[in-house]
Amino acid sequence: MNLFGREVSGFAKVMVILVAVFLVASGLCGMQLILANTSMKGGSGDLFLPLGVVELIAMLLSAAGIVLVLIAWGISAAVGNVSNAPEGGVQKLMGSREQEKRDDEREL
Amino acid sequence: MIPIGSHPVWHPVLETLAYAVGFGVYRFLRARDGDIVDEPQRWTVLAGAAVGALVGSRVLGVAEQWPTVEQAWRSGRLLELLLSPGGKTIVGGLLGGWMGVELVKRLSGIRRRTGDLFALPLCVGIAVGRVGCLLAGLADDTYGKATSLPWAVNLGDGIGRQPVQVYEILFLVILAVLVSNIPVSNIPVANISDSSIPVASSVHGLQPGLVTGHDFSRAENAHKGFWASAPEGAHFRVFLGGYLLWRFAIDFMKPQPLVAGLNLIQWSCAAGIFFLIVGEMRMGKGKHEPVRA
Repeated sequence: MNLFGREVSGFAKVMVILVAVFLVASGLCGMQLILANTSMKGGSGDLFLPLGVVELIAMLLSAAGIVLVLIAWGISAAVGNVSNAPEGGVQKLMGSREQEKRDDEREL
Repeated sequence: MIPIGSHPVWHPVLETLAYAVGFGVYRFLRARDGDIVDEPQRWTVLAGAAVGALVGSRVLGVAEQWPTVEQAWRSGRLLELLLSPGGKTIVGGLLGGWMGVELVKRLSGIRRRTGDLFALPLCVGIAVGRVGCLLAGLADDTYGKATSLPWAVNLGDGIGRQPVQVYEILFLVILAVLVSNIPVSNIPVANISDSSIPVASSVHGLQPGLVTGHDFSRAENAHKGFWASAPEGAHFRVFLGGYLLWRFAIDFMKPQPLVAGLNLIQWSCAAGIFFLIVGEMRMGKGKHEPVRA
């Protein structure tokens, strides 16, 4: 799909994946926190601590990734809007190649 | 009294399982029924839903436990609280996701109603997640008020409580059956040229392009009585309206702090229902016409 004349499906996919990673990592990280604060840690503490660190890192990286992708997506859309604007014409928001391809196939 | 106890360790496990199962059901439905938008557009909608749900669920979750947040801030344990598995709400996620989708649709010019594919996955996902809430017991803020009913659950404190999570799972089963029986009245023409997603005409052995999706689905659904004229987006609106009404009612059974007689979840449900009705009224005036139909 073209958003302001720019292909954006890559950004959207990355965003969905990052949000999923963040949600799962934050849930698991919270569980580690509970385990660390209860008697359950016991002998498993050696395993849980490194896992908790991995989840915390995943959570922080995915959170940073979400922000970065949002910024990149916005910049990409803005740049595309300026550089791809047709001469003297109105920018076509929904002028996707897929739509044109389908129209061509239907005509055939 | 049914002994269950509190096992918070299961909450994130079942929450993750809920996401996975919900996504699996979504993929199954999309493969079976086709889609009304292109794959890149669907990813854009998904991104809007994911970010909106993430923000909405956390914002309402934090607002709901504001005194705890304030206390954690004073004692320097705010990070610990924010990392805890609680503090996210389904209603906030639904409303935030809905707003996120509407925002990206407006930005990218998508004017079709894209929520139908999410209705059943949300029913299934929430039901799975609620099992985690039940097992988490007192560690989760979703337990019910004390009761002397024979099916009351003991979450570890010796008090019999309303099994509100079980009620909700049963309600979601009913809602899922209701939503499943709404005919697919949309036009999956967006994928007629896409061989990866079966569309109505190809699934049923007809040559793609010979029958329009609209004609086809009308013929397919003509026998489905009450729902025969269900418009695009009906699945999602029935789900969202039904769930918000349910939460408004069931939250009277939860010991939550009240603001002007209702808790924050109930106020959010009321706002969501209000905007749902306003949206329907605007649709009735033709302000949301599909451009690709």
